[in-house]
Order: sequence, then structure tokens, then C-alpha cells
Amino acid sequence: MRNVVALRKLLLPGALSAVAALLAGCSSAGGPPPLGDGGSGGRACTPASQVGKPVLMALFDLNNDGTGPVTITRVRLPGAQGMAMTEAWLLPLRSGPQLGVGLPYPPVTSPLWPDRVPAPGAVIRPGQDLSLVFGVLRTTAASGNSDGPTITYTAGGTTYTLREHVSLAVTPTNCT
Amino acid sequence: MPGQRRPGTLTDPARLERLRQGLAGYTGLSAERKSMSGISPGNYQGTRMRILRRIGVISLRSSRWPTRFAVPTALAMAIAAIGMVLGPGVPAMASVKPHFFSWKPGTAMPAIPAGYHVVALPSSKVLAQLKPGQNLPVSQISDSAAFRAKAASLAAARDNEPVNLELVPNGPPNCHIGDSFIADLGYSWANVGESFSEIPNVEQGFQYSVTQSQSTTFGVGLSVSGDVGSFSYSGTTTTSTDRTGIVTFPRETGVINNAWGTTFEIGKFRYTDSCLPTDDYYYIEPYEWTTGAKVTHPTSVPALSASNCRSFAKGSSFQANSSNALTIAHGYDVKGGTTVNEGFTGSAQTGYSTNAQVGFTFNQAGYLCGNNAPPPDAGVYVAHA
Repeated sequence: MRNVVALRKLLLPGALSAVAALLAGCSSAGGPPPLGDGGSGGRACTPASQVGKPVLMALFDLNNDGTGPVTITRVRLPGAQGMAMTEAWLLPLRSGPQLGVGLPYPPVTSPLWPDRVPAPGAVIRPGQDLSLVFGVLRTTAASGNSDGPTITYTAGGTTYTLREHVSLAVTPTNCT
Repeated sequence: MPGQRRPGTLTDPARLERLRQGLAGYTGLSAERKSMSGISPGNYQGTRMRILRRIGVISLRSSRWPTRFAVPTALAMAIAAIGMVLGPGVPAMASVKPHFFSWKPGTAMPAIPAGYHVVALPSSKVLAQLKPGQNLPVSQISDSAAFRAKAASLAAARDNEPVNLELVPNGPPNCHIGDSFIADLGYSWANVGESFSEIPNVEQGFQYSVTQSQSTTFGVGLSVSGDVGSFSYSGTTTTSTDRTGIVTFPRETGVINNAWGTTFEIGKFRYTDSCLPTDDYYYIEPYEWTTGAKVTHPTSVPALSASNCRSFAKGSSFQANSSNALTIAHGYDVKGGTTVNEGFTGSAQTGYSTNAQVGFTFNQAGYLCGNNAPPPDAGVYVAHA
């Protein structure tokens, strides 16, 4: 009798996992989003000594893993408090060290800066990997922060929103 | 000859190839492991299958007869609809057990040798969706003509995807399968993270928090005999632990390489299958987190590619909390000292998730480089000039 009870307890989870597995198989028909799922998480902080003066944020790459072109429609900073972003650009990646966090914005000394294109409306070809570059600025005397940027784009007639998982912060002095 | 007793033994290339072919659908699924408090023999019996990665291939454990009682009839038929049809009349393959193989609907159907039955596993498409540790829906195929007819008609309505099958010998109705705790081997320091700086004015910090599903994956030592010195690496385990907490390590500043360590209790276990006693083996693995914090200093820095580096201005900082860390080959020792000497060194890999965070504060301008990708997607980070 004890074994029967144990089996009954185990019967439902087993059935549910089987059904879930079957359903998951069905839902994958559309394939993954071409620009991925936002990758790894974390937090990036940069000093921005003057209110309203942007500094560079070039931490995110957009890689089109799909089979068709991707068109960016919008880039924004959700949940921003005490900070804002400039317009966003796409730049080619270079073979050496990449742009990063906290340099003056715009990064006019970068040899790739003349090759920038505005992110909204930009097309990323299949297999192409581009750097998302924008400035971040404090809007108040205190520190500001936001969630990771979201990138809205279309591919194959479908609209996607990519949420980067690295939150951002700007501080009047050094980050801790 | 002990080596010939290992489950899925690698000493038999032909058998290994059959296993690989038969298990092609499972590739990519990682192990879900047990702990002393996790799996008792009864957990396996009469229920489902779990996927365990062992000795370079994936082996499947199942109880035998009880599987037919674990899957409701309707569900079993639904699974059969993927294309599981069996029938007599083609050469048998009775010399290897357990025997995994794929069968493509529309081809000659494999025979069920006398004294054997077949367990049918989900299609590769379904298996690809399974999460690590998720139970496999399986069904046991009987030799009834009615069942074959029904399954054949269902299979015909589906695609012709190969079906994964396991041939198993008929056994007594209550095989006793499970893992038993043999001995506590003491505690070992385990390196659960690494970070590096090659420039002086950079601070490194590390925090390790343990939940019951913490994210350190350890190498497992396996031995048929269980004798000292006989354990060898055979896959990985993600340890479940009853103890939870957070360790914040002291920050390290300057040109320094850091390996962040904490302690785990190490256990020796034995896997037994009363229906297949030749499959019995011993294994060693960490089974409980026992806290502690110690920083050691590796001598070498991971190889870097400049294109995996990003500039960071003076005063900026970066914290990674969701990457897959590099596997640390020398993760923990079971070679004496605080442990019994079993002559084994295991690996460790901790993902930077909510369970582990590595941080860099740049008090001078520099670059942060990843070992395999630029920040924030790397496994290990190096602050670089």
C-alpha cells in the first residue's frame, strides 16, 4: 500500500513534466529572437562629474544570429531615475580593444566614430555584430540609475524587444 | 576486470558508439545530481528516468517494470504517437545491455529478443526542450498486437523522426536502484571563482551566496572499486545543499590574481542497481556547503584577446552577476589534510549569477577583458593596462 501511495504522489509530477516537455517542443517553432535574450547580467557604473554632460556607455554588442536582416526601431533606458541617455548609435566593432564605459561622449577620437549610424532605422545583417553606443548623463545632483537598455527591433515582420541585463548608474564622484 | 564493470564502459568502443548513436537526442542536456538528502532508492523506482552524465557519455537510469505504471495510459499513447512502434522479425541485439538505439519509423522494426522489453523515450525534439534534471516521460512497450497496431497508426500520422529506444532485460518487478551514502570524507576548500588584475589601482571583490539551488558545478570522481587512487573524473554535479548564506570576501587591490574559495563537505557514495549489479560504482562529490572564505593567488592569468577588452574610465566600476565562469580544474582536493585521502582532485565552475558576483572598481583608467568574450558576457575577467 505504501508503494501505491508513493507512486500516486509521483504520478502527477511525472505526467506534468512530460506534458510540459511536449508543449515546450511545440512553442519553439518560431525560433529564438535574432538578437538573443540580453546575455549576461550585472551592473555598470560611471562617474559623470557634471549634470547634463554625457559620458560614454558602449557596453553592449548587437549580434544578428537570425537568417534575415534586423531593423532597429527604438532604444531606451527603462526605469531611469536621475539619469538619461543621448541618441543611440551603431558602430562597427574593431579588432583591438573596444570602446567601453566612462570615456568622454561623443568618442570623437575613436577611428570608428565617423562610421556611426543612428540606431533607430539601422539594419543589422545576418551574422553582423555591431556595437551599441550612447551617452549617459545625470539629470539631478544625485546619482542616477536605470535598468539595462531595451532595444526594439523588427525582423521578418515580427517586432521584438531585447532587454539587456546590465543595469546602469551614473554618479557625481567615483563609483564604489 | 574492474574496468569492464563500469556502466557504459569506455573500454568497449563499439558499445560507446552505439550509446552515442542511440543517445544523440540527449546531447546537450547537463546532469542533474543528487545529494545525500536528495535521492533515495525509492525516488527512482516506479517513476521516471533521470539523465545523468557519466564517464563521458550520458547514461540513463531507470527502474524496469514499474515504468509502465508511472505513465498514465493516455499519456503513454500520446508519447507513442511520436513514432514508437516495435515489432518482431529483424535481427536481435541482445549482447549489450542496457542497449540504446534509434529507430526510424518506416524502416524495418527491431525485434525484442526473448527476455527483453523496450522502453521508448521521447523524440529528440521533445528531449531538446527538457531542462536539466527534468524527468523524462517514458513508456514501456509491451508486445501486445493491439498496442503495436495502435502505435503504428499514430506514428504514421506524424513525421518520421527517429525514436530513441532502450532495450532492457526483463527483471523482477522491484529492482532496487539508488545511491547510498558511504562515508563523510571531511571538508575541502573549493575555488568557486577567479578574477585577475594586471594594473595596480583596481579593486576586486567577490560575493558568494548559497541557496538550495546554488550554482557551483563540481567534477565528480567515479570508481568501480572505490579504492584509494582509483577515482577519476567522470562528469559534473550541481550540489544541492541544505545550508544557505552569503560570504562576502575581502576586497583585493593591486596587481593580483585571486581564486575565491569556500568549503564544502565531501561525501563518498555508492550507486547500486539490484537488477544490473554490474552497473554498481562508487563516486565522490561535494554534498554540503560548510561556509568559509579564503583567497589564494593563482600564478597564471587566462590568455586574452584584445578584442575581448573594453575601456573603463577612472572611477568606473563593473559587476558581473550572470555569466558562466571558467571551469577551475583544481577546484577541490580529496587528498588528505582536511579530508580522507582518496587521491582525487575535482573541478569547480560557478556561474556569476545572483549566487556569485565578481566586481571591479577602476581607480585608474584601464581595460576589462574577458577570457572568452568582452564584458558583460565573459566567464572570467582580467583588469588590464
